[in-house]
Amino acid sequence: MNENYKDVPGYTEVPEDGRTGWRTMFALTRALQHELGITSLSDTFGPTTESRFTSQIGAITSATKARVVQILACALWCKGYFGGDILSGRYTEDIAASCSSVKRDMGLSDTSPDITVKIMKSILTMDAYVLVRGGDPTIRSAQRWLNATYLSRRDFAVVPADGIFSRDVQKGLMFAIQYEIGMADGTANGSFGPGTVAGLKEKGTVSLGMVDGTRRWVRLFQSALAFNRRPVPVDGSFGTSTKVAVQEFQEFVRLPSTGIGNFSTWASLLVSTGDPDRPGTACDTNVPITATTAAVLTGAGYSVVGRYLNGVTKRIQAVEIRTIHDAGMSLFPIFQEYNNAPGYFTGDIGYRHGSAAVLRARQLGIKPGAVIYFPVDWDATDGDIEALVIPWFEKVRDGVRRARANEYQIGVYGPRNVCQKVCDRGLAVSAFVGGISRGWSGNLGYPLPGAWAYDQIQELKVSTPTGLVEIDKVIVSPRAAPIGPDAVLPTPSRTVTDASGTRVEVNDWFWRLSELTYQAECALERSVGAFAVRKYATELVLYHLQKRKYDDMQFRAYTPQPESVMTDPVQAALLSAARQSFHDSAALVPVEDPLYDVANYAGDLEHFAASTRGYVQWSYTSDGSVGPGDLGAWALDLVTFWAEYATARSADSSLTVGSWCGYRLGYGAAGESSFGETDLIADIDAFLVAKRLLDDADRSLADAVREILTHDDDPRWRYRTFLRERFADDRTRIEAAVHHLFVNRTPWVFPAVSAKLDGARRPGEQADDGSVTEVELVTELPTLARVFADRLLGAPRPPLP
Amino acid sequence: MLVEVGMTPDRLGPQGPSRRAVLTGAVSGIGTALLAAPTKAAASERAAGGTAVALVPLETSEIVTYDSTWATQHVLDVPLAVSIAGYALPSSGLTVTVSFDLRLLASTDRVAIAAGTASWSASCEPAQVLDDGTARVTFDVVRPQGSSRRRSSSTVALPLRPLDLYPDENIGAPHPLVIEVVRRGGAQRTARTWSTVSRSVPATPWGVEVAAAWTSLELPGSLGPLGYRAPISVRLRSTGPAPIPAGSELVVDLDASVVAGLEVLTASIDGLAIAAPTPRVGRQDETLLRGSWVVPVAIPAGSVLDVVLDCTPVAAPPTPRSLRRATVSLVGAGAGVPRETGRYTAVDLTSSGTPTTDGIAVGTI
Repeated sequence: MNENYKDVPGYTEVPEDGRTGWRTMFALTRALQHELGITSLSDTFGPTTESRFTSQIGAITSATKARVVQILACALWCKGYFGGDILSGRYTEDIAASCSSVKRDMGLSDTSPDITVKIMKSILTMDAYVLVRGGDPTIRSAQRWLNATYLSRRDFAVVPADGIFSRDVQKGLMFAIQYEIGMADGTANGSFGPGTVAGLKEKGTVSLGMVDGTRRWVRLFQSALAFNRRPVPVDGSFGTSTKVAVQEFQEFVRLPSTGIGNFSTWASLLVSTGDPDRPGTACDTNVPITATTAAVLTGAGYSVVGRYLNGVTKRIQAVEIRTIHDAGMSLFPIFQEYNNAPGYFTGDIGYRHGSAAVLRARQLGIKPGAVIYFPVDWDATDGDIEALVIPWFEKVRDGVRRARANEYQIGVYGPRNVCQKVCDRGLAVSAFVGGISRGWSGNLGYPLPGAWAYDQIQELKVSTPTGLVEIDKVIVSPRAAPIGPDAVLPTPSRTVTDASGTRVEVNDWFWRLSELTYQAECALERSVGAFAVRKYATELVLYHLQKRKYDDMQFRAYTPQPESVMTDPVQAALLSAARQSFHDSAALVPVEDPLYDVANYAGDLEHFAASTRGYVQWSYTSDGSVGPGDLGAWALDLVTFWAEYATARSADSSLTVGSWCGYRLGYGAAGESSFGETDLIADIDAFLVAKRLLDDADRSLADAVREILTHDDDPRWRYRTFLRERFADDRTRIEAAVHHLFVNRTPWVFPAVSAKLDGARRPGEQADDGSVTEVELVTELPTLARVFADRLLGAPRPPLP
Repeated sequence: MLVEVGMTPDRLGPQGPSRRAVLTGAVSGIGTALLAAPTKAAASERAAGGTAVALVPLETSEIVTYDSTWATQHVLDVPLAVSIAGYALPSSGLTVTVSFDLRLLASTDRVAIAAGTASWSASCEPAQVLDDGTARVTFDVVRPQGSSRRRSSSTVALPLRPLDLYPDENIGAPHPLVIEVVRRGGAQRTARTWSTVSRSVPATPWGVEVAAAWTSLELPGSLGPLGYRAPISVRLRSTGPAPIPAGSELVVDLDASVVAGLEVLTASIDGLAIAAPTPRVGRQDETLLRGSWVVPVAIPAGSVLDVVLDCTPVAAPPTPRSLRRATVSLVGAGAGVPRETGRYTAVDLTSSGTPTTDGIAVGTI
């Protein structure tokens, strides 16, 4: 070809590498066009080429000019057939035999060697007429039958006979159906339109016992079953095996399992929507679900709703999850940020989506194991999938695994081909099929993926008392695992009342804490020695919170940074680097960090963090003694408080422990008392959180805090829980612990108390000026203990002394 | 004497033997007489005249496999067509049995035969699978009633189709292919065996799968805008066992009436950025805009090279009559043998040549 056509304008030389392919086929097509007298050459075997071939050649025979015969010979070789001696240009019996073979492989009953325009056009493609790797013999049988039966129709093109169901095979099948309906040439268009729908409803129903006669409905139906991976004999006789295959298909696509080839079954075989008017029990929407909307949806038969994790206006909030569950529905989460064009499928974006989806799912309390769907919301072709979508999902996977492996599972939303290929690569465990766009390349010519869980088939508008709500109707398969109430933890919220009214919002503090916890886990997971340091996520976050107020030598001695006391320098260096990495990312916060907004947390945040670290490092006790962990929390706070009283008492002899301490211990904001309410809450929360972390090494800091904050509507919850878990609901233990604190000479208690007293007298010790009465001295410690216990037990606050 | 001919030396290119070997006059010394019109049998390489049974291979194709380590290459020349001498009357027809390696070839249920101006097909017995991994298919060569006796030989397009071996080409040496011709009654018999030629390869083979993502550039159409598919991203996956050689060339062909320029924005190997040199972009002619970019380093087996492209459309593209499809190809360099992955070129078309999505310009030519 190069030798003979290199000087022809518009001909492009092909590499002489012995390899066939599209460039070779394009070259053959252009060569043929040149021989037909076409000067403006094209890669496409289009209408002009067809008409000139028909008028000038008709059919390639021994009478055809040599150059055209040579082109045919070249094409036969490229197709894997014996093409004879290309150089001679003679139409020999060898070429004739090959041509007959080609036509026979195509399935044509006319196996004369004459090559007409449709045959030639097909030969100049990459279509195969033999079973290829991955091809199905039954599909090939159906393909060959289509060619044999319908090639004589004007608009029917040769379909490949390779055993692979494809877009062009689908088109051929549609043409065949339209011909059986009775559509004329020029009317049949290969599309599933209203005429085809009406025709199928009127004429297409097939059932057990039917045998094709002049009409070929059974065989067409069997072909469609074969194309949808339901191998049946394509023989025109609707027997038991066909009925069983129909039932299996109907079950697979969630149609009534009747075994009858009715319109709904035809539609599910032919197009990605199936019959879009069939009932569905799920939907997805970008509109937040209210109680009113939920009632309308459940009344219409919907029990599952897909909602977005992200998006300014479309994202789901914790209160909406409760609304959905309260209505008896369940949900499946979707994370989509545009995702509707190739430009959004970069590695960076995929990684960020995976990571952000995990954080949001955590914040919303979605338990690990849930499937999060990541969309490919555009018509991605095979090449797009290979070049962009697969690499994107690899990065989504990496992002999802950024903090913890296998925390959440990945689902894919998109056309059938996208879903199938992503699942086949092991990058998604579940498919949410976007079947509404029937003509998309990823839907036309592909069966429903085997791992489908949700199948989106129709856009609808639902009428609610507050207006129309746009939803997409979705079919649910038994493989779906929507999220019910048991799969979601409550999310801390707060009630906000302002000029616009009262509403429930997320607890910003918890939201930020969740983010910090996630960032810490990610920083550790990035470490080269992640296995050795990933357990320090809580440490990183707590220290970060604590250090604004509590980072002096005393605290460094009490709760040192683990890397400062590690004997393994390598591990120490890894943790130190991870800590720095975490601090760098944690520093990227808004100017008004809600973490430090006092309105968001009832306790003292830095105090809470420092005390929690103390408990985590020193552990906790649950008896009537003081443990080292208690020293960093309520115990030394009580000592400081006592010192404050002792100082005040020395200036005012009228003060008594009962009245002065009773009014102030655990009451008032920071500054009003050295052991005010915010301090007490911080101490209590520190114990509760630490105990949960120590009891379950896999539990995260944010998750432990979640449990506490979700009881914010019950102000006594934390006290009751603290009393139970720290003191076994036993008042005597509380008072015994206070006694232990001030009296016992336990090595870690006595010096710490003395240091904290800083010269102040202990309860029951005489003041330097001797001003404390004997009665007072005897009752000081028991009274202090009683006051402390009263506070924890919720006794009414004494009046201002 | 007939000679079993394999590759022709002049077909050996820099990338090794070509896939097809054609008997040419330069090799066989017979010239076009090989495929000349039927004449006296003695004057041609077709099987000798009379009723003596004889078998002459006409055209062969190469099947290449490797051992499991890819260090040894096995080449089996497989005849696609043979000439069988010995006039095949219905009463004394010829029975042909072909034994072949099931891993490499599939048989068809019918075989095409021609003799003079007559051509017909015969049915093949269902292939008999043997325990050694071979199969045997049998068919009869019987001249149809009333057909001319001017030719004493018949050309048979063997009922064999090569299978796509990729990615499992390293299956070891192929079993020999044997063709036996027996005249009914067993009075005459001939057989030929094609055996594998094995040799060490100077370099282990390499392979690539080229995939591309596409965008649609807008073209005017009579019923509204149409799209021209241009590549925006290319992924080259090295299939191994050897790396894609450095110096291989990524070639992008575009329609110059639609695309004015081509640029490489970024390039990376396994996610790590590499320098993206400016491609050589030029108009080969009025219709072809070609960009080529040399791969600067070898791409190890299992690695991927990702290239992000940007195509600049022309300011006012015409309504297309003729169209040059955008193609993305990798042309290998060096002495290594490329594997037959079948994916050295990416085009956004179905195998039938239709656009993969709707609304794409196809031209009128």
